[in-house]
Amino acid sequence: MKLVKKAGLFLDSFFEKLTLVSLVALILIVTTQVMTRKLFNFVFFWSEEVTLLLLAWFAFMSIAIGFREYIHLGIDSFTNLLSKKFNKVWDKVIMISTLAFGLYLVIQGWEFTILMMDSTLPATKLPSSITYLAMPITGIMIAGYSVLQLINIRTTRHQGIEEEL
Amino acid sequence: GGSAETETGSGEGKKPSYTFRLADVHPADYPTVVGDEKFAELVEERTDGRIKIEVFPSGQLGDEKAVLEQVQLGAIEFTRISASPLAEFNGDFSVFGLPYVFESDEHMWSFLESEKATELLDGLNQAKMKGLAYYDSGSRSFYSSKELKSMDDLKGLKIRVQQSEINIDFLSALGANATPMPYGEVFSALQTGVIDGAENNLPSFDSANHYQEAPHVLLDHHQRTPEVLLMSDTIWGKLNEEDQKIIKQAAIDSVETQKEEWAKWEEQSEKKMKEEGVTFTEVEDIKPLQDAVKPVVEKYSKDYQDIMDAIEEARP
Amino acid sequence: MDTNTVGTIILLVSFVGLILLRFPIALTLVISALMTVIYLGVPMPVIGQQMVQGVNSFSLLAIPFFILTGQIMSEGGLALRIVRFAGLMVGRIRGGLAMVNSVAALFFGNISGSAVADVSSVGSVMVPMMKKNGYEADYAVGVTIASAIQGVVVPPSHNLVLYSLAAGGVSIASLFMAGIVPGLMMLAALMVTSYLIARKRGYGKAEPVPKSEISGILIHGLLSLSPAVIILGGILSGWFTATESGALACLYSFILAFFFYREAPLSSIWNILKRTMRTVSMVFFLIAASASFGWTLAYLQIPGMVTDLFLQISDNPLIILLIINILLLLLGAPMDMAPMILIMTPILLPVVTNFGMDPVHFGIILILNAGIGLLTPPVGTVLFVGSAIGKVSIQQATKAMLPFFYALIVVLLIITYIPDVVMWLPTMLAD
Ligand code: NA
Ligand code: NA
Repeated sequence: MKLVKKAGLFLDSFFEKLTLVSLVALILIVTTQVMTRKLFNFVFFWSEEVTLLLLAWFAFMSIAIGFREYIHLGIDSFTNLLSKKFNKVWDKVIMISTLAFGLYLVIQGWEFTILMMDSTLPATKLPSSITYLAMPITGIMIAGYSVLQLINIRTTRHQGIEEEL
Repeated sequence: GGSAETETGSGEGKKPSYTFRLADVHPADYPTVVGDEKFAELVEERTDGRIKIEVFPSGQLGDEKAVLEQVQLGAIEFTRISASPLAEFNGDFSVFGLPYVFESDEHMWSFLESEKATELLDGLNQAKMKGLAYYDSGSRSFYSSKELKSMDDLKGLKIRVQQSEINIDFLSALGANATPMPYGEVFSALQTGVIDGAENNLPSFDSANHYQEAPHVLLDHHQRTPEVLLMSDTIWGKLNEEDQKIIKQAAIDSVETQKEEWAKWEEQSEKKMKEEGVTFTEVEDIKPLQDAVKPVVEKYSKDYQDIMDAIEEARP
Repeated sequence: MDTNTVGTIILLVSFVGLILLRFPIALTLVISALMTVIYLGVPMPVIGQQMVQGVNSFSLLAIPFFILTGQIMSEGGLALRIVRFAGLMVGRIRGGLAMVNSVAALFFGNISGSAVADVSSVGSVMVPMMKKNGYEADYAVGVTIASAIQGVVVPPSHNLVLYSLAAGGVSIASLFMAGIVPGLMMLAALMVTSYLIARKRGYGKAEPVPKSEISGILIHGLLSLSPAVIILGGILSGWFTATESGALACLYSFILAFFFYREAPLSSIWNILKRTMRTVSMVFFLIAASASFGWTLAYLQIPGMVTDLFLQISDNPLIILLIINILLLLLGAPMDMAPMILIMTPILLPVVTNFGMDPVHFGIILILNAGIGLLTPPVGTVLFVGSAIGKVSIQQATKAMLPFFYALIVVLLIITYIPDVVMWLPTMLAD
């Protein structure tokens, strides 16, 4: 059990680091594009496409990590008027809906990824499904986080940097 | 798909009714959308209102590639798109991106009406799409903020092209520098001199206001990329033979209206451009250009030599 | 009832219901869209496809870049230098510290374009400083949060980029130009208001700055402002796109903060990146979700129906605009900035373009409305963060913010009904 937890945490950190590094990579690619265009009059024909691909992955990964960090919050002004007991049950309903959303991304996202296997991206000729693969992968993460939250395990890993959101 | 499907009538004579959707990225008065509307009208008329097709203009349901994916999925039943993104779904369609393969509009249409061109449409079923008909989209030519009197003037200029390897090779074969960038940025790039010119068909040159910054047009008609009206193959498979026939025929019959509308539109654009002081120079002889880009055409056309042969045969 | 009508009811009722029941807004958008397409029999993967399409746009990339630049500036000590710079400019007027706050917020929010980041960085410097100089805490909070709203209108602003996307590619350069005059009008309105309050309450001037420090403050203030100059200059001259200037500003502010000022250790870059990702996570989920919701709206042809509805109420543009402003202010009470822009743009833009309004003009009106919504309870992120920093209750902060709120409403009415105020600069640019 301990080993499973350790492996899970490692994988989770790895994905987060990858997400942050891809943000840095995006800055570098775009800067390179400006430089080559301004100084040498050319642009790598793949640069925009690779940027977009990386952006889609960065966006979906950060959305998943947002679920881990309880960033996607709702408006509680109205539910505050209702009983504590209701709110406790309702928390579970929201978590189960999140789990369902994660599973949607896994199942239907995968189906769509498969459907897009045969078409290609114009510049790099990579399969279009490489962009859509972000759906099932982040779907697994979201489903995982929401299962942990459902069994009352707090999933936040950002300490001391929450307040400035 | 999202078709409201109901059975009308009773017993032997009962026939299904549908409401379908047709997505187009162009605005409501654009020639392709007029063609779409004609197609929808013909289908509704010939099925006594059983099959309704609602046209969604102005890219409301997404850009061309996104809508194509929805058509593959069966979420949208019809779309009208340029043949150029179809190359990402069926490599044979990249033939329309090759430079100077058609000598004239007549040459292109003589090919588009040939058996080979119909085969090309049919080949889309591999990608879960059913090609119905070709629409006109004129030809693409170069324009620049610098004077363009002959093809030699293009040498060394920075020209915006659509992002593809063919275009980059094509431009370097002409001695120009290809600068791929998103379409929306072209105007300000022309304004600030980031690029010296771009290329497109006349109506787009007009509607995107590029003529204000790049008033010199060199009519070399380097690419003729038709539009394609197509349907989701999943939905097509659900229709009975009678309805399939009606739809296919209506698509073909709508082409005439679309071509007329295109010709009118192109004429209006040219007239307006001339009033705005845009200079047009027609390239009389494209033979030297065809020779210059020969290695490019040969490099990319290896995989569909049969189509190249059919184009050759279609020469009027 | 026909299927489209039932679909519309499912979409809208589930959306409002789940929002009231504390479902995250982005999640609600996706769930409502999914329920609707299931009912309509449209293949479900289309919702996921639209989510991916929603975040698959080059200009969208400007958003994380702007936010990251703002984070580096605030962490790396650039924000503090901007505050000092502002102090030099307006500190010697009566009630000057409040004005310093407004000017600093304009400059800083300028880059981050995020009112929340603005409050937390400028506010955490200014509120304690104002309290120490005898200003009441609630007043300090009131002026801080109202000032933070300037940043969403004044370019560069990632919220304007968001609008440009939601509006289907309105020129970012034009929007940025259009935001300048309204932003300065907001500054003027806030400064006049704080001057009037300062006279009434008898607040004094700030201490004069010693002569020997002036040149240093000027130089470092300008240096700290230069990321904004890169972004704005690059975009307005047409040299770079918004995304490209965002990337350059990131690199530049990184070098300035970590190799020149060196107040924060290099290792703090991880936390800066994490913070950026937190904000981006929220915004991107909303963008992705709104794309799928917007697709469903379009599929059901709801925007066209809303336009018809407005035309039935009135065909007078002045009245329609008044209704829209009231509607947006009311929606801004419970709604946050990004969802407001992403959800309301596809619905309301066709209404106003129908009577010939420029999408750029409407964008500025929408953004200012959504910005004011950040100040109003029950859900006002800027109000909440401001109260937390000033350690006052939400009620106190709301009351103190009211005079500034009215001032901003006056600006809103001016920019709504005198289009030239907004459109003058972008029209000049186009010529
Ligand atoms: Na700003
Ligand atoms: Na609010």
